[in-house]
Amino acid sequence: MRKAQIISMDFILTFVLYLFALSVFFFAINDSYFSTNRELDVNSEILFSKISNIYNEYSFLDDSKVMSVSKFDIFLAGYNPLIAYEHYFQSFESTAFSDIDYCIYLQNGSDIIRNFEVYSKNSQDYSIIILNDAIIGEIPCGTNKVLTYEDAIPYCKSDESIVVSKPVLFEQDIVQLKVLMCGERA
Amino acid sequence: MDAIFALVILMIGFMIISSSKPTETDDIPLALAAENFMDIMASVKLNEICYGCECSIQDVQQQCNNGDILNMDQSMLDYLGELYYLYDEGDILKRQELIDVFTGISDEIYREDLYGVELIIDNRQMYIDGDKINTPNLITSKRVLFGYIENSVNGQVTYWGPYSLEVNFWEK
Repeated sequence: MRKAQIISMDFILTFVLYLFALSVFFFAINDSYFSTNRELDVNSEILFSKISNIYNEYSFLDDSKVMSVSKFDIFLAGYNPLIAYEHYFQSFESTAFSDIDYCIYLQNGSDIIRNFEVYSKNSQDYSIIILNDAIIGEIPCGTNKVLTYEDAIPYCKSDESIVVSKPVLFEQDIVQLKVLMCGERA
Repeated sequence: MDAIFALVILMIGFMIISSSKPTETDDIPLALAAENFMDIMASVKLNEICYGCECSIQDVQQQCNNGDILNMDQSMLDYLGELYYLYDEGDILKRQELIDVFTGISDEIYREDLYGVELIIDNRQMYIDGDKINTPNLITSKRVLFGYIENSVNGQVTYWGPYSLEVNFWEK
């Protein structure tokens, strides 16, 4: 090969290697590599569709209306968190979290008027507190499901959390149906 | 040498394709808030938030007590359409009633400190809260409204609409 051809080949090789290095770099820092399925997240539209699926025995929502108080309280009395987990949340599982706990509650202004817990079989210690009472102490979500807790703000003991909400009709009141998710990193 | 070149170029191509992914818009919660707002306005009837004239929304209760609500078996959204029709026919007081009902309901549904909202009916701005000029993320949700008013004395039916009802949402 002539000298000019060798120089040209070196130049091309250097350029290609440079592109290769850049590709590796951007591949490594890309969100899809680090973040997808690693952040606590939920598609709230799909989640509320699951909750309002009329073919599901664990549905309590019809479009934007919660079932009547009497029916809802009967539903809560026979409620099983593990079955609810399978119906509502199992498909949202993320391998980045060893445990995800859920608290579903109806909030009217600053009052929580209904609350119930959902957790998977993996859960060792339920992590969502609905109220921190000065005398009684921490009240976990799911305690006295039909009791009204005034000025209650549910919170997680674990680090990662997300809350999604939807306005719904409950009896005559427009209230917020909220789902708090708390995740424990794997 | 050519084979190595080809291999490296293929690897670069593979990495570029796997790296590219559509970025998720930040407007998803806002869009859902707008849709949730419209859903509940369209699906909940006045007689579902009221027992007689005892209503969970104060402004609706007041108008019910005044005898202004002609049909309790209509959705909240249809009631806004009816009020707009009466305003458009010359009853200028109905505009304020319309605004009162809209804000009374919307106060229950979304947080005013987070979202700005604008109500447009039949291409006329009826209400706005906040400044939407510089907002980068404006979400619009629309419905078509039509209905009728039945005169309880002589049974005469007057049809109104169709009107386009548009609610704009944005983050403050």
